[in-house]
Amino acid sequence: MSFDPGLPDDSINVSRTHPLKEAGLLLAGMIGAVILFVIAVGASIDWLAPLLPPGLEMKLLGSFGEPDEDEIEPSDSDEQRLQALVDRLASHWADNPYSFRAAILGDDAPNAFAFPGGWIVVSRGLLEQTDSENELAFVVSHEIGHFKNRDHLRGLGRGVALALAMSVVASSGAGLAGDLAGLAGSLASRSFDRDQEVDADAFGLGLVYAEYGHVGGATEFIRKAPEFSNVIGNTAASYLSTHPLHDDRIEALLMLALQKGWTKQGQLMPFESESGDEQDTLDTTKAHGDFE
Amino acid sequence: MENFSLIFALLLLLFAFSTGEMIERRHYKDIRSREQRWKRFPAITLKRIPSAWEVEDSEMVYGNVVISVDHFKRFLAGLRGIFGGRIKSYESLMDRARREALLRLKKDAMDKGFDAIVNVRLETTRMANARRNGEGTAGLEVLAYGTGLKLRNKPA
Repeated sequence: MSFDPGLPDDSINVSRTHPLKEAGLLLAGMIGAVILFVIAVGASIDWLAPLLPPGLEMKLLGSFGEPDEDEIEPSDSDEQRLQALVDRLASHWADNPYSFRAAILGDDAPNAFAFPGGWIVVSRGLLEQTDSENELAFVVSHEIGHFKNRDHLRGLGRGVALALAMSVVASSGAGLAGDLAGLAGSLASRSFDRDQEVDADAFGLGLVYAEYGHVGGATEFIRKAPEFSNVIGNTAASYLSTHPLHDDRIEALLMLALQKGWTKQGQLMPFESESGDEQDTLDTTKAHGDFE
Repeated sequence: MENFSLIFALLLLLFAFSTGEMIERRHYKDIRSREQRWKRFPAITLKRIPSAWEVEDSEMVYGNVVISVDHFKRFLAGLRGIFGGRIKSYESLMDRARREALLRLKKDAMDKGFDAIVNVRLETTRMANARRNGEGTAGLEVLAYGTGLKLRNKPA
């Protein structure tokens, strides 16, 4: 027997696809799948959310929506004032099925949330950056508007869908893929937010007018802090925070006020914060922060 | 801020891709040249010694290699973990490791003065990640072993 040596064939055991091409294809497929999933779930939730009676929601999700105890500040006079404000504003919603509960989040970033079960949560940072009760009232009324339109349930449903998709991707161990999926998913989820915000604004403005007889201060908060344009949103997504949504929203609000004949002129009330100076009334033209 | 970390992760991935590609290309070049150089040295899988060979001495010989998975290959494999299909990024890794182990096996036998290796076998082991309770793959080991033979009559 003679020994006839050969060399290994390079082309049999190794696929010749370019790795970057493979990565691009797989990533695009994954991102597309996540977006489709979130949109599909978002659309079904939009359809299902109004079918859940508010009474049942309070019972089922009341404790689920309750903010974590270590995140909210202990009950104090600010919270009582906020609760009173929430109750006053909610009283103008004729067939309100909710009994709202207010809480203050110990966070310096201005933010406000509507959580399932009637929770309206406002951050300490938002309290400090609003110059009048009217501004705060608009934020709170906007959140009440989300309850009216059941947006908090939609947001919750989409959040669950996104978390589900993310956990599938994350379990693959490809960390970056998970991040990209999260970004794509929240962008897809965000496409649902826009109309919701405008609708909640419109309802909120009505409550503010009913309470004060004018809508002065209502647009101030989003106008003076464009970078907080998603503050009054109901999602935690901070992507696209530079999105010029606030201009559209202010314009839509002004148009609504004009159509309804709601005046912007009127006295602004102070919302006394413990950390700020006491002052009886505020001048509409004054824009400096009193509670810095 | 989140976008920043995303960009950083992307850059890290591209960096891992370029280093991984470079190392792989060099390794293949080296593998091919040694395969060419040592191809006349018999390393065969037969269990029985060919009857024409007169064995003077024998001993077990080894060739062993451990190769790391790079970040990019692992990322691609992770994506494959979602969709399924061939993990192409690991194919070249396995191929390199097997061929390198066989070359080291020949080197071991040559250094010990043997003329041939019979009963060549390959073993593969996944090197578990030291972190995350051993989940994930740090690298892979391929062991090639066989029986080195010293012959009175050299094979043709």
